[in-house]
Amino acid sequence: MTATRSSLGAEHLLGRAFERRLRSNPDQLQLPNRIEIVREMESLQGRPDLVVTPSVLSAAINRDRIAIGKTIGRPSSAKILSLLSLVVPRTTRYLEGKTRLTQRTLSTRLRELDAVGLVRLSTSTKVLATRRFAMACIPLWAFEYKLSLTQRALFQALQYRAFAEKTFIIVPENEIDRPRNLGIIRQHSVGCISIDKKGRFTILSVANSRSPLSRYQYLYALGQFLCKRSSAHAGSFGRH
Amino acid sequence: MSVYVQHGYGKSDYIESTIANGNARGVILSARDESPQAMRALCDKLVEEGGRGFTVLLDPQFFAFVIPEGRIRNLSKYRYYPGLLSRSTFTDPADLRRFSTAALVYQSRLPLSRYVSPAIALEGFNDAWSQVYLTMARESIRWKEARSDDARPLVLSLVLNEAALMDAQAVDEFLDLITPWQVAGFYIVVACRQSGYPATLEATALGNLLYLIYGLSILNGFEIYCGYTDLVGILHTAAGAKAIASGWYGSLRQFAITSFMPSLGGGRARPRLTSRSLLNPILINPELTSVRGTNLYSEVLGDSEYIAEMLRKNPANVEWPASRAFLHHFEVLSTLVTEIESLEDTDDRLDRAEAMIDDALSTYAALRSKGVIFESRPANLQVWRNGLHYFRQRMK
Repeated sequence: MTATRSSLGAEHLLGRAFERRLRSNPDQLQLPNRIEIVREMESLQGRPDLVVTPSVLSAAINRDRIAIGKTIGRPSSAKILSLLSLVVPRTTRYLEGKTRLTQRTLSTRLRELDAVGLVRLSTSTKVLATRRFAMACIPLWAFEYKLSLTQRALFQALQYRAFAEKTFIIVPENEIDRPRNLGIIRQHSVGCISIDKKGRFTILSVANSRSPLSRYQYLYALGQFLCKRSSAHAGSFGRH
Repeated sequence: MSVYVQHGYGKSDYIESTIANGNARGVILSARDESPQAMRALCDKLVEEGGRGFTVLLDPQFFAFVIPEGRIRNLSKYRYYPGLLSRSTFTDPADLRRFSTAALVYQSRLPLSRYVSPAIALEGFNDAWSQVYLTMARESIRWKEARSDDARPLVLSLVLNEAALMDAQAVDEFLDLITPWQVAGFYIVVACRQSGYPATLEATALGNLLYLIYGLSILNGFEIYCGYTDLVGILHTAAGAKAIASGWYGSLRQFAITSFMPSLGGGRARPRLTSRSLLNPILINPELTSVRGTNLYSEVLGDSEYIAEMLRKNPANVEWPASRAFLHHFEVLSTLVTEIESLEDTDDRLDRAEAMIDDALSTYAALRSKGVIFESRPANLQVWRNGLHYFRQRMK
């Protein structure tokens, strides 16, 4: 551990090394060239060190991403959207009962969602999600930087399953020699990647894709992701 | 069954719901969290809805008046509010009489089941405040003795810091001092050193607390009401407590003086489900979602109408609002306490409580062996077990 700290400093240096590698070689994790990242993103399950998407936002969504993100990022709006379908309309009464929102708050939120084109009122009391909403629903991957493979690291990675399609733990290379907890990490299909001093990484455990456990938490996290454009974009990414 | 609702901020309709579903047999009202007008209306309502045998107590929370910049909320609106107090304000016995009397006179105008004396918090049984505590307690007893026409008994508040319970000899001496007092009982609140939820007292402090409860209730016939007790209350009940109390927020399930101090803010509480078989509230995500992949899922969930949907669906996607989580928690707590109370003999009750802890530890071990990851080890259960053993040694 001491050697790791002297070579990589601390977790944030480990993170920087990993991010540089992702930028220069996104193929290794099958990520697109124009990679989008958000650091320390707020979620309902804590703050993962890094969140990325393996998808590319369509131009139509990308243009309005901040407005869409701010709208989805409200817990009440995320709750409403989590109950909607593209084909089966939901009544406002059903939404009121399920979300426990007041009629007034529900109408306000539906108006806001309608304004950014994520929902459509099929009649005055029936609501559908739109194709535009489906296009905005990009998968998220969550990464946690750790100096050792502790059970706490696995716990955090499992927490992020609530909203992420894949979760990863990133550790320094010396953890390869001490594969503590690696068995249980593999058992849970959580990804584990070790980084050497040159930023090259080795995949110790493969992350399996799974639907996020909670649609509500996924939508809330998606809202945060879309809002955080500043540090996320490929143009400035990695130049520190 | 003697589980009371520990009232506090944001009560919604929680108390009424626990009365309606038959799980609450009383309530301990927090003066801080209602204005005097609202408190009057609330008392009337609860007495009516609770019916015969439903106990309504009011904690005057006098200890909060000595906390500089304390978060006393509505307490300053009560007639018994003396302003911020310091050690120098407790030197005149006439003032101590006035403080005690004012809080009890206020209670006399409400339809309460018992009087609860005002008290300051004790860091130790022999600390600088202990004399103030004893004088105020005696003044409360004197006030009650002068009202022989009032049938409502007096219960003395005993607000302790965990550190006070680390010294067994001091606990014994305190027991000797208070057992001759002519009161119906004690309302005991212990401030836990640990923060977070769920927290636990140290084993020695817990063991001495159980001994205090046992000494006062079983050996001396006092009624013991334990505030802010939550699941560890199965041990308090086994040791002889008449009632334990729990509320909807973590701060109503374990007492901390810090909740009366200026707020430092805090994160959003993560949804939890209280598992009867684990004797703990576990996180819906990722703990319960991980348990779902094992054959112990239904055992961990338990049997309740509140969790019916979780048996069929992924718990992370089941609506689990705070109200339902609380009602389920309270139901689990009531069931556990009822099971302990169904046994007459103290030894049998303690054996049953110990068996519950051992079963929970075994279930945790089985889940860990199946790859379920918990945020932390169930250290509280091991502490409960050690505290229980310490107490049983002291009983001999």
